[in-house]
Amino acid sequence: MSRWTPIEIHAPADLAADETFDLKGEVCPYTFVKSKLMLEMMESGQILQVIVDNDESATNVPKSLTNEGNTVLGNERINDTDWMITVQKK
Amino acid sequence: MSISNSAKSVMVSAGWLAENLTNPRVRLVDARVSDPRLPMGYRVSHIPGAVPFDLNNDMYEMGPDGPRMKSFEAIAQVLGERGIANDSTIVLYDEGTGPLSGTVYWLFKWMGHDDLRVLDGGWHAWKQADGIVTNTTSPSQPVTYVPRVDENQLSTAEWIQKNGTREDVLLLDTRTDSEYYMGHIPGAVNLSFDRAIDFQKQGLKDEQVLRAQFERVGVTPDKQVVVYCGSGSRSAHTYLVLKALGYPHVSNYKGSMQDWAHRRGLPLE
Repeated sequence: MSRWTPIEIHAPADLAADETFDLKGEVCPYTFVKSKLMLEMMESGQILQVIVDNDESATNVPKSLTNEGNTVLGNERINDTDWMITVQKK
Repeated sequence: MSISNSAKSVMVSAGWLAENLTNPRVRLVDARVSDPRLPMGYRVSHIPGAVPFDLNNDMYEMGPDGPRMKSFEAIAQVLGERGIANDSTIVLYDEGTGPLSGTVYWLFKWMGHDDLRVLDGGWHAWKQADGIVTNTTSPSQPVTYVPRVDENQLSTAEWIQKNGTREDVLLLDTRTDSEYYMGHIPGAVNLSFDRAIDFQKQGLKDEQVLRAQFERVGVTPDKQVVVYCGSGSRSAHTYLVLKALGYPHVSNYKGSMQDWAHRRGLPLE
């Protein structure tokens, strides 16, 4: 168990994702880089949900995507290991 | 001032690469993401003459407890099969100038490769410069690559425990500030790896800006700088940037906080 915990943000319940990207089993830096590449294929305003299974990715992916100008709408623990990051493309 | 293209510069521009593309000493290494769900990457198109290097498959292999790093000999065999020799001028590129280039750069430095460059702005810069691309792979002439492991490029928990409080040692945490404030190695300063990236141009910020950022957190040429992050990938990017700026004593803590936090009895601040 790591000694740091990602910050949980609850996305609006009625949010519909345009794309979902399962990145379980992937580690840093792939989680961030692949999320960014998937967003590049989407239209401005569309919503991507990314599933990761490690705390490091659940912490740094939202921050890095925010740094790139996108809006993180949610970062929710969905089970013992997995996190769902919801981001709206800038 | 751009960081690229000074004498023996680590970072090279798309223009430099175009001029040197047919130089037989130059071996291009494509470190971009390879994922069949993303319609991009080496298999779709690449810079002519490039060979792929996929961290997931070429640096790591599956072990009983998950991915583990391959032996240097196994990685060297991959390089040799792809026509990379010890005296090659390797030019790395990824999507922009991101952590993938950084990780491969650090790995190859750890393996003792001397002439190692990185395309500033990566694939994005090459496309912006209307560089030619291809989806054809030319067979490589296999050569023998001999790893000359340089352990000075690596830091470990044991080394940090013994030396981390020395005045000439600077521990640089390259995670986000929120990760840093949740717990870091005692004495470490924080500068997130992506503060080095100009997101508009998808390359590194100008040299003076980078130097000022590092100097503000205490990085000086006389310091032994140990970079770390969550696992050693983001910090490898900072390692690359510091090397590109000419800082002589830089090492990367492989495993980083994943390793530190899982060892019993190691302090956090």
